[in-house]
Amino acid sequence: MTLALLILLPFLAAIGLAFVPKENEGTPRVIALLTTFFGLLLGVKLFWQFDAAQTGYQFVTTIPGLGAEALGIHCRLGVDGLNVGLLLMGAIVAFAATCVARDIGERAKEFYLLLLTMTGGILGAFASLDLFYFYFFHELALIPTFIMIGVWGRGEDKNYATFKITMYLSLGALIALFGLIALYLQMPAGQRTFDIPAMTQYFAGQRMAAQAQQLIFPALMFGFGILVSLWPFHTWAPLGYGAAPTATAMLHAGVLKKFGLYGLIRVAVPLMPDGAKQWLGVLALLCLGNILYCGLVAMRQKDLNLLIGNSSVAHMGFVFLGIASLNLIGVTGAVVIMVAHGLLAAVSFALSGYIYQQARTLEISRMGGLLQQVPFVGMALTMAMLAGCGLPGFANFVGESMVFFGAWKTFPVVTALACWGALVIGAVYMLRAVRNILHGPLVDDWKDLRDLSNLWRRLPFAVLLFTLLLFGFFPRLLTDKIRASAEVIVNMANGGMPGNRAANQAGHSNTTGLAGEPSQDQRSLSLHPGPIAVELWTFSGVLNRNPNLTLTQKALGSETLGFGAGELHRLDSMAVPPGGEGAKGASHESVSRTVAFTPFQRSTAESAHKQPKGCGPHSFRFKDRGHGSQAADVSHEPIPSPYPPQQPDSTADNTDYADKNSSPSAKSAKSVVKELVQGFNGRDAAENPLPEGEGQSEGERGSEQSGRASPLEDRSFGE
Amino acid sequence: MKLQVLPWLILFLPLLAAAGITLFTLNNRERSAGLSIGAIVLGFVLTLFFIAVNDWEPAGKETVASWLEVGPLQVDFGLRLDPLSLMMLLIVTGVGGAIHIYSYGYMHEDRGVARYFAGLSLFTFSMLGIVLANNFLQLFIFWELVGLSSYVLIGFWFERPSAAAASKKAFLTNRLGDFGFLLGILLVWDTFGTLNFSSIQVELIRNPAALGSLATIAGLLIFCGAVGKSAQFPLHVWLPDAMEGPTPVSALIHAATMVAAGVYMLCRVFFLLDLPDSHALEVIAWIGGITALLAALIATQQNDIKRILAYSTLSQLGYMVLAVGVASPAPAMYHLTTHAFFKALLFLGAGSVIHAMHHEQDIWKMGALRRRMPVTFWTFLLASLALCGLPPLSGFFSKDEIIAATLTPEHGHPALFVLAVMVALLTTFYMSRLVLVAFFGPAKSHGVDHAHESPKVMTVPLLALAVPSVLGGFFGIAELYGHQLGETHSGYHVLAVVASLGAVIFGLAFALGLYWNAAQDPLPEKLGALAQAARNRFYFDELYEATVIKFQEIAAAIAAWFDEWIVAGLLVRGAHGATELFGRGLRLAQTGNLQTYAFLFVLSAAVVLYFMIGR
Repeated sequence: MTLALLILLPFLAAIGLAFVPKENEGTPRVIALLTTFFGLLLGVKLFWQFDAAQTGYQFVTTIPGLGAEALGIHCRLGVDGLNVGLLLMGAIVAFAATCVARDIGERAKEFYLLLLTMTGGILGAFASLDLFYFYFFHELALIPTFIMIGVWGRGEDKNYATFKITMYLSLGALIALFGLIALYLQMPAGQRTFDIPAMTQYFAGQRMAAQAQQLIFPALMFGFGILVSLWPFHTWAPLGYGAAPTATAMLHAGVLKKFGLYGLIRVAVPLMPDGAKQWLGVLALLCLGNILYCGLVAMRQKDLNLLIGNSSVAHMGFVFLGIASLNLIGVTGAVVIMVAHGLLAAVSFALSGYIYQQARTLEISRMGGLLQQVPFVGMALTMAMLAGCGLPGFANFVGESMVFFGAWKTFPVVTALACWGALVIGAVYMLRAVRNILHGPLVDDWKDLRDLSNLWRRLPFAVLLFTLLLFGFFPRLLTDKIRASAEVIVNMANGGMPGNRAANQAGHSNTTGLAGEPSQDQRSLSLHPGPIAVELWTFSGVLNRNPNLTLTQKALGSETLGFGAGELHRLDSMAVPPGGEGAKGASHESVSRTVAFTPFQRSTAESAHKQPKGCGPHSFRFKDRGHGSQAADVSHEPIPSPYPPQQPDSTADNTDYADKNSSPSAKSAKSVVKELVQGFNGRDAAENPLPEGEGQSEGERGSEQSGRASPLEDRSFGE
Repeated sequence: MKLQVLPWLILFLPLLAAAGITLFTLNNRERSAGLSIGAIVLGFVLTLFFIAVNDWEPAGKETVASWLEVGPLQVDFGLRLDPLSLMMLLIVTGVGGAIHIYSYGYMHEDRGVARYFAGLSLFTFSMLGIVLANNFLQLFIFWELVGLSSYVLIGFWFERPSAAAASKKAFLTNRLGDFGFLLGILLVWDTFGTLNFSSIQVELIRNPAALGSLATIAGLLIFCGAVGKSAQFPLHVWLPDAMEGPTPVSALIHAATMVAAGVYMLCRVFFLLDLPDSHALEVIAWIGGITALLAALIATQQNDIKRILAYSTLSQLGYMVLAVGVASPAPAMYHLTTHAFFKALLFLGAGSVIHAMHHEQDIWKMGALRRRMPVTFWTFLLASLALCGLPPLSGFFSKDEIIAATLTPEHGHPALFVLAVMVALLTTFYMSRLVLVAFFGPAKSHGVDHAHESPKVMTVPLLALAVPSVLGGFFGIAELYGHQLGETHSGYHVLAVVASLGAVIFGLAFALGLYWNAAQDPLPEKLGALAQAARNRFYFDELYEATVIKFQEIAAAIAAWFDEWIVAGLLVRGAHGATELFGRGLRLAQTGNLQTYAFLFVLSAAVVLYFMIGR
C-alpha cells in the first residue's frame, strides 16, 4: 500500500492538476508540494520499515487494472536493498525540486503537471518488478524532461540542448530496448515472462548461451550507459543540465539518470554473467574516461552549471567502476554512490539555480566574494562542493571509498587512477569554483543579491544536505539495507556456471603465469564483441592483475567474493572448524567490543545477524539464507528470495555439513569442500560430473517452486 | 578499563560545540566562544581524570563500534587508548585549550568570531579523531577532516585573495599526499584483510614478510600521507602560505598539532615501516633530513615573523621525521611533544606582537619591544631558547635524543648526523636573529612607540605554556613514549651532546655578531646568491607552477578541446550532419516528376533483371 501510493500519488495528482482552472494560480504549486511532501513521508516510511535481514522483495504489490494478462504484463512493484535507498532519495529530491520550482514563472500549472508525472515515472521505474513497466515508467519520466527543457529551459543553447538530449536519451533507451527484447526472446516460448524476479530465476537455472550473452550484454551496457552519460556518450549531460530548468535538472541528474545504472545492476549483470565478465573490463576502462577525462574537462569550464554537469558525469564513473568490480563491496558502494550522488546533484543544481535566478548569470569569472553577500547559499554550496570532492562526513565518501576497496582487487591500476580523479582532480575544480565564486573580494555587481533568509525556503537545501550527512556519518543505515540484495546480484554474476567453464579453466591455467598475458582461450572467447573490443579487452587484461579471479571466486564459493586470488591462503582457515583465525575478534582479545553503531536500527534481527564470536562470517550468512528458503513453506509477508540460493550451498560450513550430508544439494557442497582442502585443482568433470549450476539448481528449483507458491501470491492493491 | 565513556565524550564534545555554534549561536560571539572553549577545557579535565583513574595503559586498549560492515570490509569506529594517544590527547586539549582562550582575546574585534570558534572546534574534533583512531580508514577520515578545518581556518579571512589562495593550496597539496596514503591503505587492506592497527601488528609479528616485495612501496605510500600533512619536502610549500590564517590558528594547527599528525601517524604505524625487507625508513630519514636543512636555510632569510616561525616548524618537523627514519619513534614523539609547547608559545607570542603592532609582521619594522612587552618578551625568549636546545630547557632533551639517534649503527648514518647538527646551528642562528631584531636594538618604526602589552586573556596562556616549555624535560615524557615504542638507545651519546651544544654556541655567536643593534640585514651582501635563493624559498613555488600545475592545466585544456571539437563537434555534430546530408541527397530523388520516377523504375528493373537472368 505504501509503495503503491508512493508511485501512484504523483500520477493522480498530475491528473487532478489538469482540471484545476487557470485562474487558480497558486493551487498547482500547493498541490504539487503537498503531493511530494506526502511522497517524502512515504519514502521515509518505506525506508524505515524495510527489513534489512530479508533478501527477497518486500512491500510487493500488484496494481490491478494496469497490465495485460494475455501478454503476461502486470504492474508489479516491490522493494529490495537495491532500490529502497533510491526510492527514498527519489522522494526527497522530488520534494526538494518542487520546493525550488517557484522560479517557474509562466505556465506553472503545466510545469508542475510534468514534474509530477516525471516523479511518478522515476519512482515507478525503480519500483517495478515487471520488465515492461520498468521500461515504460522510465520513458514516462523521460518525455516530460524533454518538454520541460524545451519550454522552460534557459540560455542560448536551449534548443540545441533539447534536441541533443532528446536524441541521445532516445537512442540510449532504444538500444536498451533492443537488449531487453532480445533478453526476453532468450526464454523459450512457453516460459516467457516479463516478471523480473521470475526471469532472474529462470536464467539462474537455465544459463543463457554465452554467445547470446556476449551480444545482448553490450546492448544493455551501452544502451543504459548512454542514459547515464558513459564516456564517450556523455556530451548531452552538461549541455542539457545547463539548459534545463532547475527542478528538471535536479530530478534528472539526481534521480532519473540512475535508472541506467539500476538497470545494469538489476537486469544486465545478474542475468548475463558471462557477458558481464567479457564486457565489464571494457566498462572499467571507459569509466576512466568519465573520471579522469570529464574531471579534466570540468576544470576548464567557465559556467557553474557546466562545471556541475561535468562533475556529475565524472561521478558516474565511480559507479561504473563499482559495478565492474563485480564484488559485494564494489556493488554495494556503487549503490551508495547512486543514492549519495542523487542528493548531491540535486543540491548542487538547486544552488546554482538559485544563484542564476538572482544574478542571471553563472559565469564563474564574473562572480567573486558571494560568501559575504549570501552566507547561507555560500555555505551550502561550499558543502556541496566539498561533498563532491569526496570529503568524509558526506555519503559520497562512503560510496567512493567502498568502490575503491572493492575494485582494488580486480583493477588496481584503474582504481589508482580513479583515486587520483577523486582526490586530486575533483578537489582542483571544486575548490577553484569555491575560490572564484565565493571567496575573494565581493564584486560590485552582486551587492544586492539576497540570501535565503526564510527558514521555509532553506528547507529543501537543509533536507538534502542533512540526508547526505546522515548517511555519511552512519553509513550502516544504508549499507545494511543494500548488502543482502547486492550479495544476491553478485553471487548470481559470479556463480558457478556451465557456460563459463572454458574461461575459468583458462584463468586457472594462468594462475602461475604472467598476470598480463591473457591465455589463448580467453582471447578466443573475447573475439565475439568485435575487433575494437578485443583490443580494449586485451588492454584491460594487462591492467587486470587477477585474470583468474573468476575461478578463484568460483572455487571459494560465492560467500567470499570479496577475496581475490591473493587471498588463497585464507582457505586453510575456512577448511578447519570454526573458531580459528577466521574470526576477526580472535586476533586481539584485549579489545572490548561494544554493540553496533547504528543508532536508528529498528529491527532486532540485525543483532542476530551479527556474527557470533569465533565463527566466520561466511558460515553464518549461509545459514541465514538456508533458513530463508526452508521457511518459505510457511507463508509470511515478505516473499523469500526469488533467486535460487545456488552457490551458498557449496560453501557449507562444517557444522551444517554433517546435517546436509544426505540432502541432494550436499553433494556439490561436499565436492567443493573437498576441493578447498585439495587446494583448488579445479572442478574436473571426473570429480563432479554434473555441471555445477545445473545439477544444483535443479534440485533447488524444485524445492524453491514448491515453497514459492503461497508467498509469491501478491498482496493485491488495496489490501 | 573504567569510565569507558569518557574518551567518547572527549572526542565528541568539540563536535557538539561546532554543531551548536553553527546552528544556534552564529550571531552571539560570547556564547560561541564559551561553547568552544568550554568543550576543549572540559576535554582536558576529563582526559586528566581518565588518566588518573586508568593510568596510562588502560586494561582494554580499545573501545569499538561498528561503522561500516560489508562483506570482508569491516571498518570500526574505535578509540585506541595507550600512552601514545593519551599523551596526544593531553597535548591537543591542553595546548589547544590555551590557544582557544588566547583566541578569545586575539579575535575579539573580528566580526566572524562565531564562525572562527566553530572552525576551531571542528578542528579539535578532527584532530582528536586522528589521535584516537584505531584503524586506517578512520584515521583517513579524520585526516581529511583536519584538512577541511585547516582549509576553513586558513581561509577565515576569505575576502582576502591571498588567504583564499593559500587555503586552496593547502588543501590541494594535502590531497596529493592523501592520494598516496589512500593507495597505501588499499594495499595494506588487500594484504591483511583488515584495517585495524592491532590486528595488522599481530599479523606482522606472526609473519614479518607478509607484505613481501611490496613492503617498501606500502611503507612509502603511507609515508606520502605524512609528507602532505607534515609538510615534508617536496610537498612543503603549503605550510608557509598557511600563515595567512589568524595567528592562533597558526599556533594550533600549523605548529602544535595538525602538522605533527603526520609524525604521529608514522609512529602509530611504525610496525609497518620497520620491516626486515623494507627500505622505507631510509627514504623517510633522508626526506626528513632534507626538509630540516632546506627549511632552516630558508628561515634565515625571511623577514615576516610568522614565516620565520613557519619555516622553523618545517625544519623541526623534518627533525621528527628524521627520527622516525632512523628507527627512533620515541624521540620523534618526545620532540613532537616539547615542540608543541614551545612552538605554540612562539606563535602566540608572535601573535601578541602582531596584535600590539597593529598587524605589522615585518621584523625589520619592530625592535626594542623588550621593554614595552615584558611578558611577551620573556616567554618568547624562553621558548626560543628551548627551540634552540639550550639545557636544561625541554628542547635540549628531545633534540639531543634525535641527534644521538642518528648515530645508531644499524639505522643511523654519519651524514645524517652532520646534517642534524648543522640544522641545530642554523636553528639557533635564525631564532637569535628573530629575537635580536624584533625585541632588542633600536625601534625601527613608529609602530613600536604605540605598542603595549596584550591583555591578560592573552598573556596568561603565554605563561601557562611557558611552564612545560621550560620544564618539559623533567616530566618523564620520554620514558612514557619509550615504554610503548621501545627504547631505541639508552643515555645521551657524548658526541651528540657536545656537537649540539657547540652548534648552539656557534649559532648564537654568529647571530650576535651580525644582528646586535643591526638596522638592516647584512647577510644578503655577504652571501649573495644563496641568500637570494633562500629568500625566494629556493624557487619551489615557481618550479611547481611551471611543471606540475602547468602539466595538469595543459591536460585539462587538451581534454576540453577534445570534448568540444572532437566528441561533441566532429562525432556528434558530424553524425547529425551526415544524417541530414543523406536526407537532402534522398530528397533530390523525390522530384515529383513522373518521368524521373519512370526512368528510375526502368533502370532498377533492368539492374534486377541483369542480376537475375543476364549473367
